[in-house]
Amino acid sequence: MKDEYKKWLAQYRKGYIELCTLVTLKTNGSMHGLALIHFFENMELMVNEGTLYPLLNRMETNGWLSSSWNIPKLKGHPKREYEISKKGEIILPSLLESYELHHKSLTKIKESTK
Amino acid sequence: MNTKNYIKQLKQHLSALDTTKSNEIIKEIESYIQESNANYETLVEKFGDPIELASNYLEDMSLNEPKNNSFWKSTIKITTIVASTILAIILITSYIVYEVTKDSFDYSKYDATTITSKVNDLWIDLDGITEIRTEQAEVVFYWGENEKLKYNCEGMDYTQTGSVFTIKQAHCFVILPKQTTNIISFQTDVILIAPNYNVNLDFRQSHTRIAEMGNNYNYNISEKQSKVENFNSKQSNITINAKVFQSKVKHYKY
Repeated sequence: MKDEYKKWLAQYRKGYIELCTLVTLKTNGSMHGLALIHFFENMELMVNEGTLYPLLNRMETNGWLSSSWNIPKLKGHPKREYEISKKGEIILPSLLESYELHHKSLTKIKESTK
Repeated sequence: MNTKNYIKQLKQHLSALDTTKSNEIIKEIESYIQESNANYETLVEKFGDPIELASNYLEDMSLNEPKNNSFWKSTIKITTIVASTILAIILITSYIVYEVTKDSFDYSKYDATTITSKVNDLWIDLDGITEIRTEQAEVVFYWGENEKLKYNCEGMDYTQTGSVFTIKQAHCFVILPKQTTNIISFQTDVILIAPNYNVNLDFRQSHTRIAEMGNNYNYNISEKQSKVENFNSKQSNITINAKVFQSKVKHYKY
């Protein structure tokens, strides 16, 4: 039961985290992986690195994000910064609409069974 | 175990990805290690073990691009370039061959009268010719109303012996009178423009094109080891008797 729940959650969260990532980068501009994780934590969305980093990679391959290496001039180490791409900006409204429609449908379904 | 071991194992398990992608992932995890001062245990806690993390990357990648994509892409690209180059060479060669071998103008647009204006070099008249023999030549035949044969030649050899006019290794325009009924050709490119009288052809290893120009002909063609296009025999007072051996006979097209 626990494993099935984990699998379902993993599948459900992937799409959800992708949507949150697009919204975050659209709102805040470019961010690197760890900064995104901290940002999500502050928003009470717990995402571990093992989930987020491969997702970022996939979203870049999809063309929804673009990345570049930010190399500090004086101190520090290079960081891979992600930003929403044009394709990502185009698809975001559709993703949000789908999410909201599903959310509304679920609410209606729950209410209809009362 | 330290972070280097983690990276090494991750690299191994990402080997299914193309090198550029794999290097980017490794560089990003190394950046994370530096940013968060993570040790091996922290990495396992945050990312899962290297096998698990690699499978997360590979699972996501498999939805988008299989490893061999770049190989296939480059193979397809190279094949396309090679095929395009070969095609371009074939087209250019064909064009050159076409330009070199095509008729200098559309012979079928002229007749026995107008060809003398088009080819306005010296035309020579011959009397009493009943037979023409050609060898390794290019000859365009028209049929005229005069009693004499008229010709205009460029090339090696064209001679009259009695009633026979012989053309060898020359390019000629010939206007035939009614009495010239026999054409014997060997290794010659022959074009007949609208024959106006009966004619007997005996062609060996020759290439013959006939422009009917809307006229009806009664064809009587016997061929051996030759390629003869379909010539419809229609009721006509003009008969074309042709005996062809190892030759091609087709309709004239410019």
